[in-house]
Amino acid sequence: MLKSFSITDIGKKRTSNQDLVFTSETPMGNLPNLFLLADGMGGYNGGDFASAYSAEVAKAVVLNCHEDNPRKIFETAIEIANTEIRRKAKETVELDSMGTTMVMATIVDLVLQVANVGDSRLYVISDELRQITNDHSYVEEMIKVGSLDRQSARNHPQKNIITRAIGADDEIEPDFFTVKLKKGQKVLMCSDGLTNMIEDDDIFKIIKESKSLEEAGLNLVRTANDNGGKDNVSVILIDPFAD
Amino acid sequence: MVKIGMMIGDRYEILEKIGTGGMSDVYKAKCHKLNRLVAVKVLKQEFAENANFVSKFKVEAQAAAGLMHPNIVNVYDVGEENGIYYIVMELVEGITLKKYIEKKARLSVKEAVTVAIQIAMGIEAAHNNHIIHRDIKPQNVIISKEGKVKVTDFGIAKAATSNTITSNVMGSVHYTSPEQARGGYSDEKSDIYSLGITLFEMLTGRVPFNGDTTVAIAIKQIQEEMPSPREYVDDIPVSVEQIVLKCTQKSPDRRYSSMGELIEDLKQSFVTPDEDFVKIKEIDELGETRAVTAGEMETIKKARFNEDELTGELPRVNPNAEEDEYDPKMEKATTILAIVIGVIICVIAIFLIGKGIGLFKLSKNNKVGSETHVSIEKPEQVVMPAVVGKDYEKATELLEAVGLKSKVIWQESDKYDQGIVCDATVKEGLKVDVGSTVNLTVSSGASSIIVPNVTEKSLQEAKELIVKAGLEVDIRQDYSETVPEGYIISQSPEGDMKAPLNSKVEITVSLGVGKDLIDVPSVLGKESEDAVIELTEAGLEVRSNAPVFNNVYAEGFICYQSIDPGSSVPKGTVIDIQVSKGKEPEALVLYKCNTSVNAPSTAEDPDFESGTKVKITLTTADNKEYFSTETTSFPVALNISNISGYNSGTITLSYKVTTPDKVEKDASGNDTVTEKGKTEDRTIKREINFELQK
Repeated sequence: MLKSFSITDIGKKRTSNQDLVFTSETPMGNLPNLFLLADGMGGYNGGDFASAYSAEVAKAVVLNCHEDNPRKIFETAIEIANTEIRRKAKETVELDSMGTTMVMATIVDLVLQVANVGDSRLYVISDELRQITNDHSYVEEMIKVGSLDRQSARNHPQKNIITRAIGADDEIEPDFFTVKLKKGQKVLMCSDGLTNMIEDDDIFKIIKESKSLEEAGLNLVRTANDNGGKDNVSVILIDPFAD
Repeated sequence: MVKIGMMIGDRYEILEKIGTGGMSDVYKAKCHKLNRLVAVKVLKQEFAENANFVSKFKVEAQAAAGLMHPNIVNVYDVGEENGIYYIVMELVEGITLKKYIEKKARLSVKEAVTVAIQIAMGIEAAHNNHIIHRDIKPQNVIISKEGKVKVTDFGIAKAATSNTITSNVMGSVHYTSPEQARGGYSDEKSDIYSLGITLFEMLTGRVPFNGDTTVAIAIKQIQEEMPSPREYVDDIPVSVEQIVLKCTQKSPDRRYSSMGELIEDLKQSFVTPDEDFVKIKEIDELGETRAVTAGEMETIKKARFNEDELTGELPRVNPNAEEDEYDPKMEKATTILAIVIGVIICVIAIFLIGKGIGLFKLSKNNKVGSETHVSIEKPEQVVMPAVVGKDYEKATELLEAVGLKSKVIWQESDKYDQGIVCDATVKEGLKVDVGSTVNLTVSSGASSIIVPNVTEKSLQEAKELIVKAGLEVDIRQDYSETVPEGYIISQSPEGDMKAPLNSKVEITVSLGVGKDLIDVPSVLGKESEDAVIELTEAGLEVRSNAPVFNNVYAEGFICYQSIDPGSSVPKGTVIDIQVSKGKEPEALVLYKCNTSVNAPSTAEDPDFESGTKVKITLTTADNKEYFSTETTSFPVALNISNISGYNSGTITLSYKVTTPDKVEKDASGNDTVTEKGKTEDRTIKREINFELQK
């Protein structure tokens, strides 16, 4: 039986929460379950609206899409969400240049399918914390070409620049991943509000030492806030093997 | 702030507000410079303060300003004054097509098609200037008081979604193409889709896809099958129904490829509404996955066989990948890298082979002796293109493009539609001499008519006979020494041949014996300057046209003359000529050649002696040499990439053969030389097909 827990917190420094989490352990459209995390951006109301509206659009697409292939469903959902956000941004001055990251995931017969655009992340936890998604951030591109090492990236001044996001451009190109899950593994989805405040090793420790998904989620948020809470922090934890 | 009575741009006097949209307001104004009424669209205050919106508004407006067409609401001027961004347009008094449809519930087929043609012509003008509208919908089409149909908001669709009447934000998505709903690439075909939906609405009074939210409608555009307008209105003729369906195909490749094509079919639907003439491409024609034919297998097998003889490493798939970490940028980079490495390897290979066989040493003196050239050469040839199943006019074009002539023979066929080639005297893929004639058997449909014989009959009689037979007349004129004026010299197709119903019979009427006639010389293939001189000296008036691409004649040589060589025309007749620009460059299709060259076989040349130095070259039909080496040992590996423009070439082996003196015993039993030995140059040419380089 699949179980999940999700939580989103405004953090300590922000005046609004532009993150959004959505979980459905029951079927949505042709998918047996759906997990969605979005981190909005854009001055004023933009970020709020972007993550919320994109999520609504993505869910609507999942519910109405005739495709069976999760990858195709996610692709259509993200594309239409992008077109909608772009359209809204053009029509309303306050929403100009809004955008959002998005991670969508579903587990079909213990095969995890993920779509990602932006710098929110999905990890698979076994005996280590393994990051599955690739960050679409300026800093990550620099690491890839070797002009920056991961340690310095943590505090890099341009850490928050995203290279791909919903609403950034008329065309959008999400990444897709497929992972066959093994017994005992768990899935973690989170916004950078978590990973910027806690090191991966500590995240791993907190999850391992918690007795339930709920406890782990609450501990992660508390620790992120204790460490500064500079951004909204959101977490989705999934245990595909819970009984 | 725009106020009634104020003057904008020093010439436009604002008279009254006539409409408001999402991002702008529209006013009626008077242009004092040209003394006419205009419409002035002003970007709303809150948007004018945002640099992003302003720059988009300006760029798009300027693009649209260049368009002038009776079916477009013309943009006259663009400007900015004191923070007021405005566009001055043609003032059209009338109602939108949307309102018109609402008023009438739905339009008659004739009216809908007429309106559609006018919209299409307006959009065509924009497409010719590379402007895509992107927001074609009935709300963006105005029908003026005089009944003129005009499309508005050209190119402005990107910056604003308004028009003269309150825009309905939800309205757009009903007309949006699937590729626009998914974001990103949209082109002329996206406008065609939207026009198809608009035509559907004109015919039925409703939109094909509806829903509660924009998302629900967008998904339907992407995945739901387009309903036929006939489901709602019975008496829509099949041609119009098919036009709507072709415009609204999900895949842009299956739609009309241009407004021009659509306009033609719309016009045709007036003439033959019940005829099913609209052609929607079958999936197969688009190059989708299909089974390999036997011929293709052969080619693949041959290429494969040669490949196996080389030491090449095929890229390996990582069996340990659990996750699909797909990075398209990486893929592109590795492909480019592979090509670069391939070229480097070839260069190194040639260098090493060259060094090994002394290619880089000075050449020794040739042996002097009686050298005779024995070469196995063929005349200039081309590959016969595929014509069966194609429209016969297209087929004739294809043949002309490669330098072949064609002759049409009509034949009934229940397998092929009228006008489609059923058979050709030369099979596709075979090599044919340039200039040869290929006979095309073209279907005349289920039945055919026997063409009446009209040669030497009077023009009047000839016309009557042809029309009575159910065919059309096409009249040409020419001088004749033997046939009197007003009588038919020749006809095509000839009498007693078959032809389809309503097809044309070309008849040439005699103008009698001409005076002051000159023979038109042939200048095809001549240098353009020489051609002009020759024609002028012959007494013709030469008109040079723009150079064109041509596959048969090289750049700078004449590839077309409007009057056939040998014709007799009066002095001073104008003749058009065209100079070739050379071969039309293809979207760079590259080929590669991976093969192994063996020594001349016994079948090819029994006199070849193993160990003889052989020069091997690889050339393409344009005599471009891609490879050249000399060797004494075989086989020789040949790996060439980046061959452009040709999918086959010739491997030429050149070497010398020395036959020894023929010694026989003479009458006294002594050895005597009866025939002196000689050394000959020999050449062997082998045709080779290349592989597509990916």
